[in-house]
Amino acid sequence: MQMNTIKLRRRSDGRLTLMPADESNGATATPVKVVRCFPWSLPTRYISILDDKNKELFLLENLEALEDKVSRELLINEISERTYLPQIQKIDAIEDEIDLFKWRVQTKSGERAFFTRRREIPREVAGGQVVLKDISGDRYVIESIDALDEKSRNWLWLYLD
Amino acid sequence: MTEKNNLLEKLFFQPSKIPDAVAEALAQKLPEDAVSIFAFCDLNEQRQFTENWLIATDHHLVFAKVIDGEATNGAHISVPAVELTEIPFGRIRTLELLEGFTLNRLDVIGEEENLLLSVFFTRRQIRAIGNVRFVVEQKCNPKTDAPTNGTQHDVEKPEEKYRESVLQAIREAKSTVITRQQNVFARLMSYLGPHKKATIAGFAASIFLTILGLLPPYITRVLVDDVLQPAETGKLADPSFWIWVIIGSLALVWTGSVLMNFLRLRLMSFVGERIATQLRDELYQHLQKLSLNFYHQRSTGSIISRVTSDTDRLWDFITFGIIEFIISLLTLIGVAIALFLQDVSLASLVVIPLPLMLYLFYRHSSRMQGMFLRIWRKWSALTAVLSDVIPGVRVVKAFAQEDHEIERFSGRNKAVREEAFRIHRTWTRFWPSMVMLMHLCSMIVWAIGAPRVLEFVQTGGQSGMPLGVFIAFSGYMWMFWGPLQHIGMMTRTFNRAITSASRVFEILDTTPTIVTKKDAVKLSRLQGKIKFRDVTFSYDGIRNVLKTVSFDVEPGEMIGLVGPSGSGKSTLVNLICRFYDVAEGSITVDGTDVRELDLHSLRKQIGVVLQEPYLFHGTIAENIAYGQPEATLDNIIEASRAANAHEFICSFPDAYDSVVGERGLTLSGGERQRISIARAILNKPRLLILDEATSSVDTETEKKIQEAMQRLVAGRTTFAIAHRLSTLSSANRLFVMENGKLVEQGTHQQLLEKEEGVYAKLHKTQAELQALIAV
Repeated sequence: MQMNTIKLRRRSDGRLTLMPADESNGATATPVKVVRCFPWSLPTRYISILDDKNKELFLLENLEALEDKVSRELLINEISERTYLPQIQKIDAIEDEIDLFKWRVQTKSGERAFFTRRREIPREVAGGQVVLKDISGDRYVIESIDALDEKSRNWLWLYLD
Repeated sequence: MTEKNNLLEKLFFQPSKIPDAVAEALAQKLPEDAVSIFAFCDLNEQRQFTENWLIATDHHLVFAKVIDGEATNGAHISVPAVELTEIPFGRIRTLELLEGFTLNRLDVIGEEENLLLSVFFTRRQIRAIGNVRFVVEQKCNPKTDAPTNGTQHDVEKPEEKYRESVLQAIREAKSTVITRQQNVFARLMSYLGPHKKATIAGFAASIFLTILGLLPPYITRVLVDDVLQPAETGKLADPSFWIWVIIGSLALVWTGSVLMNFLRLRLMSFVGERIATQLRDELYQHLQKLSLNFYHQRSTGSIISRVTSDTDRLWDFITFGIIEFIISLLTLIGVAIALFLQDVSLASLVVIPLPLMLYLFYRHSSRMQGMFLRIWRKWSALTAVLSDVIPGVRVVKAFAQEDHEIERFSGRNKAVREEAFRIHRTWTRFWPSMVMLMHLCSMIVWAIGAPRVLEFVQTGGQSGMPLGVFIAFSGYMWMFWGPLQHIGMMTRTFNRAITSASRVFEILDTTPTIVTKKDAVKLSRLQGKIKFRDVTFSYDGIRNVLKTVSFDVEPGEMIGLVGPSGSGKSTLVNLICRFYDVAEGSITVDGTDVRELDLHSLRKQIGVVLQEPYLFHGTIAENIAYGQPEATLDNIIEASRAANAHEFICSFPDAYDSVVGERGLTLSGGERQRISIARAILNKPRLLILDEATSSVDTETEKKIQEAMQRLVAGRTTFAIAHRLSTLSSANRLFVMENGKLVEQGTHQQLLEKEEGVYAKLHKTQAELQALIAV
């Protein structure tokens, strides 16, 4: 089966499944997981499709090249859910709490408070985004530091860059 | 207690229990059901933060959606509407968790492969959700995991479980969850108690020092106004005598203040050092008492820094911080009083800019603090390159990446320089401007004071200001700045000390979970009869790592423990050592429950050989005699021979006197292993635990270790964990663990005969692997 002709569909229980190339011989759909190989540097390239045992079924080199439109949309949906990051729009405060920093922020998804480790260095990814990881493993993104207001930038100056 | 319960709200702005509205709706809809466990769902389908709940009751899985209710009928109280979705356990087939970066989803899938419910939440809730999922799965399939005593697996105190599961991340990352500043400070001060005399003397010296410091300008004034001027007009008899009196008293003042300064520094630095030593000792003693689970939660570095740098910071605070604060405050008050005594109107003029100056010092101190924070970050980035690259220098050279590494270092080096420049720019600008301001204040005093002195001279003392007063005034003025600066920096000094103190106290306040009971039984000689009765154990109170494990082991028996990793083998042996206490059931050693035994006497008779043996810094002989410091050299050599270690030890130039451990001789894995076996042999343990003792060595070495172990095992009750089944050939019986349960037990032969048995399969795979290698 050609890589760009694979078909993905959502099963009744909500799982994303890979449709068999030829349904006539009784083959059934396989539930799959979707992983981006380069989530930060190349978000729409090299999409790995794995089965439940983490065995790779396909490595899709380019999401855009996928022929089936429904599959493409399903994939984009699945990826966007897995990689959803609350976008920080405003930083109300960063407090120094001994071994941690406590952040109080306004995100696109609402208000949030979280803690980061003092030694955790935020990663800057391609495109100038800054990704923060809190102590529970939740990640938050600052799309562009320059787009923040001055107060937020001052907090970052103190604790981040 | 309430503070502890509200932590979630304080830290994360997250409800610490199910809101009343949800509880009421639940009670209305499912009056028969009690809440078993619950979790918070902080995201919704639209990926917005919300406050929804996933609740497992006795018979249902309930999703509670909280919709912020508008104030109705003009009333000010908003009543949130609650929308409940309840699913009876019978309809649930499975629960599936899909993890993402931040958004995670739990799908509840029904009997007909249909999606019953999807809930969304961040990773913060994943533990709590996992607990709900576990409980629901238990209730849906009661047969797969037979609960103890036939009762349902009920969670005690669901609210506490929920809170703990969310707070866990903080506990792992941070020293203290709660800090009460005042208490910490009072407690730190209480350490001064035993050194009352020295402290009081130190404080008294500081007060005297302050007073003496205030005298010289006053003496100058007396010299000018009461000696020189009267002498000029001839009103004073014998002026040269008075001059010597003044010089004498000045000499006295200076000598006195040097003495007082010496006293306070000497006394307080000794007191500070005594307290720091005491804290370090207390900390270390307490650390030795603490149970293993404390160490699992913290990094070694954070524990070490509390014993070293935090206590050092407290020394600094006790020796200098407090006293300097007091001296500064007293000086400030003293100078103000002195100024007002000289001249009220001029004094008020001088005091007015004080708050401004204080503010400037304060602002400067906090700005510098911010910049220090930044340069510290840049520094650690620079040192990170070093500690990253230097150990990997072989790789750098092999791939010819020297230039790339030089560039990386120099980039970060430049960043440090930029920050340093910023700091230097700030302070070099700040200090001259402060001095300018001080001069300005003096100029005001001159501008107003000098004409008045002139007036005094011209009116022959009728009005105006005497020259001496003016000179004293100028002198006092300059005494303001030092204390102002200290007080401006005080918040920072206090904060640092409180932080360090709370980090230290946090360890002291942690109570060991495993302790010897008061009327504990002392084991004089352990026979080695081990009995497990329905032992259930869990590290987190939810997932059981051991499930109703029962067995009997006779004295002298060797038991081989096999099973996949994570099946509970290591946990089982940890329980025999009583590193943890069982949740249910009991473990008895020689007929006595381990919880009734004296911990020391129990562990002293257990020998443990681990996969990665730990050698302390010291000679090989010292390491072998670690458990028996009084062992004779004959004993040590004998033990080494038995461990097949004697020969390789003798091949080192320093033989038994070779220094090993950190900064010592490097030994291979097999050599370390044999030294640790010698250590165990010398200890003459009655019970032996071998935790994958041979898994990381080559075959030749394994043979030697095997031989050594044969000697070690003889006549002792032994538990040996191994992946390679061949290692366990001499075991009397094998226990096969799977998923926390003891699934098979018997001799090698007996287990092989069970064709579909776990052990038989394991054996077959390993034999195939062997054959593969042979070809």
